[in-house]
Amino acid sequence: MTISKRVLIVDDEVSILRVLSNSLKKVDPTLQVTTVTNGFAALDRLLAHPYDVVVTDFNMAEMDGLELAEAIRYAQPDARLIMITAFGNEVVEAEARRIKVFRYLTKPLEIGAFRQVVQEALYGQNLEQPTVATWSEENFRQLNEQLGRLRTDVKASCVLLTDTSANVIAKTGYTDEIPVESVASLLSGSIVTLIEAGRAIDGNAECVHLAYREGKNDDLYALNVGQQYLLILVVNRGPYSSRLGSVWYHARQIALNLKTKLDEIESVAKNPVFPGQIEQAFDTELNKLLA
Amino acid sequence: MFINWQHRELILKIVYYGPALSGKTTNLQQIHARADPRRRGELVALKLHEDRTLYFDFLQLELGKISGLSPKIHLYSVPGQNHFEASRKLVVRGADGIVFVADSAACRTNANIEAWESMQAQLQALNLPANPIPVVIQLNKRDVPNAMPVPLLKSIFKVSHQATFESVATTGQGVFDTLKAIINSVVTQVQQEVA
Repeated sequence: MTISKRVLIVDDEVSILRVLSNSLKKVDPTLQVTTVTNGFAALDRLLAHPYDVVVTDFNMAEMDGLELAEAIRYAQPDARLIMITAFGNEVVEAEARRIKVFRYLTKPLEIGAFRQVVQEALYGQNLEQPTVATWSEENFRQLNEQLGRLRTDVKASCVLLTDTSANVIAKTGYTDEIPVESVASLLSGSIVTLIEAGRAIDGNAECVHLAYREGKNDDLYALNVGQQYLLILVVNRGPYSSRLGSVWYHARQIALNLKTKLDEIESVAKNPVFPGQIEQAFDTELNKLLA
Repeated sequence: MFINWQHRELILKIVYYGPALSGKTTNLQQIHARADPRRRGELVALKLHEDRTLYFDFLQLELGKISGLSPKIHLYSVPGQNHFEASRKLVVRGADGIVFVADSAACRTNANIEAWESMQAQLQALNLPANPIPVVIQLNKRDVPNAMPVPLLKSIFKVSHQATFESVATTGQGVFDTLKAIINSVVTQVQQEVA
């Protein structure tokens, strides 16, 4: 028997509670979602039942999200916390990090992103774990966590990590509508060209390069992570003005952080292990493809 | 060969190399036209106004599962003209296998040799480990009136002992055999590296 997961949502606006709670039905129909309108009611619930994830608004009367979060740390240290606020500032964010909030989301909240974050909090980011692990699960977890955080920070519709041969290493967000491999191969071309152009000017290739496209709705960003990898972001900007500066700031940080991590991973990622002969299998599959 | 264990994908990169107008893009177009539409991407072509490849063409094919992995084949073609040397170099990087598309027309002998030598130089510059990248040679345009005899072409490339594939890419003849051959060589090589 599988035990269904439990989520507690705390917000003083009933309409928001309804929207958030409904949005989670798609994540998992067996999910048990409880909603309450203030921090005290939340603590009552938390003392009565274990919860896997607690989603709380920051700005609430009497007990704000941070105070609640602090209390939850004692009541249920294993619960993962997601904080939502319309009044986010650096101080609040720093405080949220200190008490180890799982993710910090700002309003206006995009429901898809919210759902994704809850899913990550419930199941870890990836439902599918490699059965033959060349990269450790811990590596994947850290990698996905960084990409997920970046996606939330810049409100990207998707974030991809590829190598410069356009091999997709990790992706998060909505990629169904995007020809991922084609986009990755084209952007790899742009970035590699940019790196070479830079090298031709001053001989230095150890920089972060950005290829940027301002679309009507969707902006496109590609940054290099070292010389081997690429970070690609699709940001649905809607009718608002470009967020080039903040996207660049966040993405650049992640690109620099990821570089060391990926160098480690790369050294082990290229050792394929195949049982038996596979030439025949390839031949059969190619014949099917070209039949 | 790139394996993404997380997505359980295996990716092979095959590059079509050769002199300008030898039929590299045509090879990709034929494969695109013949492959099951559910298992291939769009043919991405970065062209100049004269319909000549600017940077590369790109086509992705997906195969059914093998050993629990979903293989994807990335086909690239490089621009043939001499002044795109730098672009060719970038596209060749990370290739698992190369199809050299030679032009059988007698008047293209020099262009064939130049392209062949530039490819050899690029492969050397990649400083690859002991196992060299497999190269399959396709002798294209066998239908032109002034086509060079096969043994002569092979001697030009100093590959008299090696199997080559005769083709007429515009009709698709020989195109798929070449693709199968390069993939077979790449897979065989990977097996040897693992063993």
